[in-house]
Amino acid sequence: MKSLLLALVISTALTAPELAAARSVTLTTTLNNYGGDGAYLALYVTDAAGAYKGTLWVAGGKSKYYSHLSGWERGSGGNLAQISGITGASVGAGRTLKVTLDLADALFDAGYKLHIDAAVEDMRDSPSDVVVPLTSAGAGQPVKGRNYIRSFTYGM
Amino acid sequence: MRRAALIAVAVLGVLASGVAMADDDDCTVPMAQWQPREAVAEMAKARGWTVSRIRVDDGCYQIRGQDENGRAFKAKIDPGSLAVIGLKRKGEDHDRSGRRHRDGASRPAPASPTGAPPANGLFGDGAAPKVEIQ
Repeated sequence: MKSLLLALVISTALTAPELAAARSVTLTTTLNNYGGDGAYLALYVTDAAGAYKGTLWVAGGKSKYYSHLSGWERGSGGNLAQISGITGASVGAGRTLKVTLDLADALFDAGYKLHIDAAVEDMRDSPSDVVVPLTSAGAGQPVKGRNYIRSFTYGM
Repeated sequence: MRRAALIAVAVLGVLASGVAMADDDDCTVPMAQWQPREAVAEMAKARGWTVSRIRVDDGCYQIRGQDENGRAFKAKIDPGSLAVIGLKRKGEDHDRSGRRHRDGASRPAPASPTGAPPANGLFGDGAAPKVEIQ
């Protein structure tokens, strides 16, 4: 009985911080001077199997254009309830979006990937403009985007 | 008297819905009532426009080309009545559709959004993200 209690105490001590632990992360996205309107961006996370896990931020004020963020739309089903409180203005060409949030520790070094979909009015949609694995070692390393994103960095 | 009041309410309701619809730049014409692209091209030609492209956007026809004065423009056309419901010429400010909001430069970014983020397991402390656009 005593050993069971001890095991319980130890396992609780080991798992509780794991569940609760989080770290402050700044996601910095700088856009190219692509010469168009402000870009709509969706920052979301997929798990090791590539399945959509959740959204971190959506830049862009009109929800009717969110379907152009096609990777995000496919994963989230376009469910606006999932992004309540985590949306803001679109990001102009050449400008930098900085999102600082408390990200769960469990997302790092566990196969999770951060995706950024981008869309600009009258220009080509760019799903997964950036895809970057969330690892402790990758923090602070700039990653180049495919179309509209010049660089993306997550810093801890 | 009662009837007059009812009519007044009905009229006000219609007016109010008109105002609400005018705020949106989508067209809601059923497909069965759409006029063909050729009709759009004809209408543009009659106005003296040179069309470079006709496409469908937000349920409306959208024409790109040059107007009668040779200026590049983009027009939004009701697919049923072929009425011009939005026109933007090159060098002018955006049309009435309010698309200026897509440009982060013309709308200040929210320094800190209100409300907590969704409980999707990603946010460690449940606090709203801090956001800035530089």
